[in-house]
Amino acid sequence: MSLQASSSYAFGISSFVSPPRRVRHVPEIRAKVEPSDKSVEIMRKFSEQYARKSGTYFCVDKGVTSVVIKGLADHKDSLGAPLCPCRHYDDKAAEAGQGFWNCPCVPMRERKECHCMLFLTPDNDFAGQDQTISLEEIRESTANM
Amino acid sequence: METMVSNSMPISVSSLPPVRVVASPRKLEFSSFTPKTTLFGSRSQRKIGFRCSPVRRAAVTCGVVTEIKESQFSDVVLKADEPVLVEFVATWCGPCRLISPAMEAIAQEYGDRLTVVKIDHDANPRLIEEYKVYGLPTLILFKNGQEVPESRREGAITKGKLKEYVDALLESISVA
Repeated sequence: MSLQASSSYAFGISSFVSPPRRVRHVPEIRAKVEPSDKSVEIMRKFSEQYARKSGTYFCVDKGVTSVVIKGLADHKDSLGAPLCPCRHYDDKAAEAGQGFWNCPCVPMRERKECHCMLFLTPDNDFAGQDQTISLEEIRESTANM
Repeated sequence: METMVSNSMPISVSSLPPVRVVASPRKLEFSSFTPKTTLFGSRSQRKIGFRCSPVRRAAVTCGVVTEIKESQFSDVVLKADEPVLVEFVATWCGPCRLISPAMEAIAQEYGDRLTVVKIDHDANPRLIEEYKVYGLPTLILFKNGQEVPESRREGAITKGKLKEYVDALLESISVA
C-alpha cells in the first residue's frame, strides 16, 4: 500500500470536542469548512500519482475532481485519514481507522471502481484525458462553493 | 461572498443549518460533454448566477431544487400530496455536484407533478440513519409518506437516464 495517502488513526467521537488542530471557535454564522492548503496539496499530488499508477483518468469536468480532492483533504484534516467523501458513515472515526474507505479504497484497489469519480477508467463516459490537476484548477473550480 | 472559516471544527457543520449554493438551472446536459465543457460554467458565469438565501423557518429556496433539513422532512416530503424525489448529498462529493444541473432540469420539467429536494447527509444524521443512506448521492422517491419500493438509486446519473428513471417511477406509482 505504498500510495496510501496517510497513516490513519482512530479516535472516539468524544474527541471531536477537542480535535488536535482545529481549535478555532466557530462563530454563529454559516460556514463552509475549508480543508487546509497542506492537505489539499498532499491529496492533489497523491491523486496525480495514483491515476498514473492505476492507468485511470480524471473526470472530464475537473470540478468533480477538485471537489473530491478537497473532500479527501478535509477528512485528512479532521480524521487523520483521507476517508472517501462520497459516502455516509455512521462513525467516521471508526471507519477511518478501519480503512476500507480510505482513498484509494478497497473497491478501487481491487476493481478500479471509484464511485466518487476521482479515478475513471478510460472507457468511462465521464473520463477525460488528464492525469494531472493543478492547485490553480482546484481553486478555480471550487471558488464559489 | 459567503463567509469561509478555515480550520474550523468539522462537528460544527452538523450543528449549523445546511446552506449551500444550489446550482442555478443550466442548459448544459451531460450529452454536451467535450473535454473543454464544464458542467458548472466558468467562474465568472457562476458569479452572475443568483444565490440562495435562507428563509427563516422555511426551506432554502433557490431555483427549483429546494434544500431541506430533517425538521422539515415530515411536512415537505412525507405529507406532500405529490411525489417527492429526495437527493441525499454531501458537500465534497464530486458526483453529487455532477448531477446537480440534471436534478435542476428535472425539477423544472416535472414541476407540476414532482417535487425535488436535496438533503445534506452531514447535517441531517437522523434522516440518514432512518433511511439507511450510505453511497452518495442517493436518490429516493417518496409518495404518500413512504419510500417508493425500488426507487432507490446511488451514484452519478446522466440527465437522459435520470429522466428514464423518473418516468418509470411516476408511471409505476400512478398505476399502483
